Amino acid sequence: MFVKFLALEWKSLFRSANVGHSILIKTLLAFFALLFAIGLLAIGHSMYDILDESSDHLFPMQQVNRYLLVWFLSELGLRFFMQQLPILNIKPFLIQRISRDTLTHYLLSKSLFTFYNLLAPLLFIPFAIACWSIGDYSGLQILGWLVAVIGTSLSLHFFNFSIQQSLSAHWRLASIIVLVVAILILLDYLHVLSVSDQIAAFYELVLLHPSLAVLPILLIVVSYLLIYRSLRHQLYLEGRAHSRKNSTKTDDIRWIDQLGRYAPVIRLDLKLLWRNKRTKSLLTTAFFGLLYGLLFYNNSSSSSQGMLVFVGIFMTGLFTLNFGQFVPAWDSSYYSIIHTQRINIQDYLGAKSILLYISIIFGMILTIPYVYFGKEILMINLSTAVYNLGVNVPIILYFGTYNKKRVDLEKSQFFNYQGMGAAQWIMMLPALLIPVILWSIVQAFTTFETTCLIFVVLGMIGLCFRNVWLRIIARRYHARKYAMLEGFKQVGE
Amino acid sequence: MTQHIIDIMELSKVYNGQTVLQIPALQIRQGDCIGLVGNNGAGKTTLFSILLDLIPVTTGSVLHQGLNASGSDEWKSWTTAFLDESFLIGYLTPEEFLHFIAEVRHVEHTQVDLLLEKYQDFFQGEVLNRGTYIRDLSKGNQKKVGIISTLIGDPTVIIWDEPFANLDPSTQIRLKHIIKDLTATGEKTMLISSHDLSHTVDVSSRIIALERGRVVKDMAKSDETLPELQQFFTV
Repeated sequence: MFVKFLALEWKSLFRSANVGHSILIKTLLAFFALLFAIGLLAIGHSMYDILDESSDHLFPMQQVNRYLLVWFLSELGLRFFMQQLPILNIKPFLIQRISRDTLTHYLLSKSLFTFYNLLAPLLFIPFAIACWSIGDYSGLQILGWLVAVIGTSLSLHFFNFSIQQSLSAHWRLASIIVLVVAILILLDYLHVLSVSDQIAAFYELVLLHPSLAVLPILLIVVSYLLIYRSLRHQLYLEGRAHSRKNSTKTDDIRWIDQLGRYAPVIRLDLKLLWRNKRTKSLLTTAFFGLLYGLLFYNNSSSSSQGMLVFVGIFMTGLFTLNFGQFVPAWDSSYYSIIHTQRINIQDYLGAKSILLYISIIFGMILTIPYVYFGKEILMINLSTAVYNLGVNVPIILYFGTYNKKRVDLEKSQFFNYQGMGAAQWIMMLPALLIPVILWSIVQAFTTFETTCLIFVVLGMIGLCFRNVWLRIIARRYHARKYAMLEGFKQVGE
Repeated sequence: MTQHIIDIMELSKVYNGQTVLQIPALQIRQGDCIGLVGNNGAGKTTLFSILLDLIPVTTGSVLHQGLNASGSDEWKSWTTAFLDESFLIGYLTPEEFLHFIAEVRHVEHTQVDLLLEKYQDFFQGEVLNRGTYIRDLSKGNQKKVGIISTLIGDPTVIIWDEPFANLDPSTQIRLKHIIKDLTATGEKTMLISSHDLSHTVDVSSRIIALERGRVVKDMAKSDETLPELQQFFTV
């Protein structure tokens, strides 16, 4: 049975509407994964030597044990945000003579084949081999330790699915858990109640008595049974359909009427943003993107001014980049309406640009507190925001017209390349790199203040010629109308 | 009364070297209620999509009251259509969707409320005021929303692709009454495709049958129409 399912998966990959595209993306991802894997392997390999030098009285193994909790927590975090339960279209199978148990087991065993399960082995196996070859521990001890660590990692794999399921259903529970974890971290940090010491003590114990490695294996079984039971229980169409139905109150956001002819489209876009999975995760990304500056402003030694410009463009323009590149693909599932109703394309584009302006201005206001790191940073952020308003918005909206792939609104955005075309990758370059290069060139000839001023003026010019570029892009929309309509109809990867 | 509402001239559509639609000439007059019948692949939806300028023609042209469909936007003010779910916005509630359509058609909100009151029976109390997104509605209920959305703004030309499919029997009968009401004054022009011959003959004033992209029958409705069509589609 498993083989038959796999054969179906294979067909679905090669018979999907745009095979080349999905294979290309998979190859690209595989390449990055390979790079990452090699990096991890190298770290695991050299970890022993580094740790050996750094401390006199602790074995490298003991030091690793002390940080295992951090590793497991970050692994869980990574899994939580990135990893998703593989999707199987169950409807056709439910009425066939395939037991629900088989389906569930298949789904779960398929989930095991993921890159995230390789992270722990890649890092810890070379390290364990190093410990063993030097002779800190016997072969049996090391084996027990490895089984325990990798076993814990695998149980996280299954626990993660249970967590994702229960959290998506009850978000209040989510906030409580986050609070509890935060308190634990604080206690740990203050050495009041040290969880990481407890964890470390357990793995020390495994080294003394390798038979204790059975415990993490039991943990895998428990976690598997937990998710198995809840999935098995949910393997009915109705269960899924009902939980999805959520009732909302009709909201017309009347104040938007102030915006006149742009009002209907903007109101629609706000609902689009709030009510769909993919756009919601986009909003989260945009918000966390604002914290990006903290990474750079702290270590001022390493950040050149070009880098600061990049950070400025990125922070104030992240939403514009993410949202703008899929205009009009966001509206792909109802694109016929846009073209059969009396929606003037230039007004449609105008409305989209206003939405992007609002996001940039929000970003501009929210990045003002970074003035703490220096007046220079505030000036850079303000002038890059104006540059975004005037120059990047038209560039991104223009490149959006090259997109004719349907966007599936019901899927999360993280690591989701659905609807992504070559144009989207290329578009990032002019939007992000041109300002950095331009800044460096201008700055070579004149002062910092003048450079800021030039950027503001560039943005202002772009804003003044708003109607011109709106008209140019609208013309592109007319030229590509049929191609877009046809492309947006293609459902699937 | 000379000008045609829709004028099709030398129309053809070719996909991958295969001609899927070939109509040398077809005129649609004001007040026509056209029932378009034909088997799968006969070109019904293709014809409607071309009328709405959603797919390009290979040769020929479509004129809406003398205006070229692909060259102007004017005709959109008097034409509405519901072909498939791509004419619905899934993340809106039915009321929000209808108000959105009203806004882009420059219709007062109060008119939408009047319309909803008038067609309350049609929804059978299952759709409105439930706070359910359109994407969570059943196919039949989605279709009801789509059909009512085409009545907003008092259009004179209404195009429906398979309006009877997926509807329950009572709603099918209500829909027939709606169509008869709409066409009673002779001001509205309707184009309706369907696989249900008896419904189609019942409501339309003129029947057009397509086969492999060609018009094979074009006749005013009479008592013999239904037997004739049944004869025609019997294999």
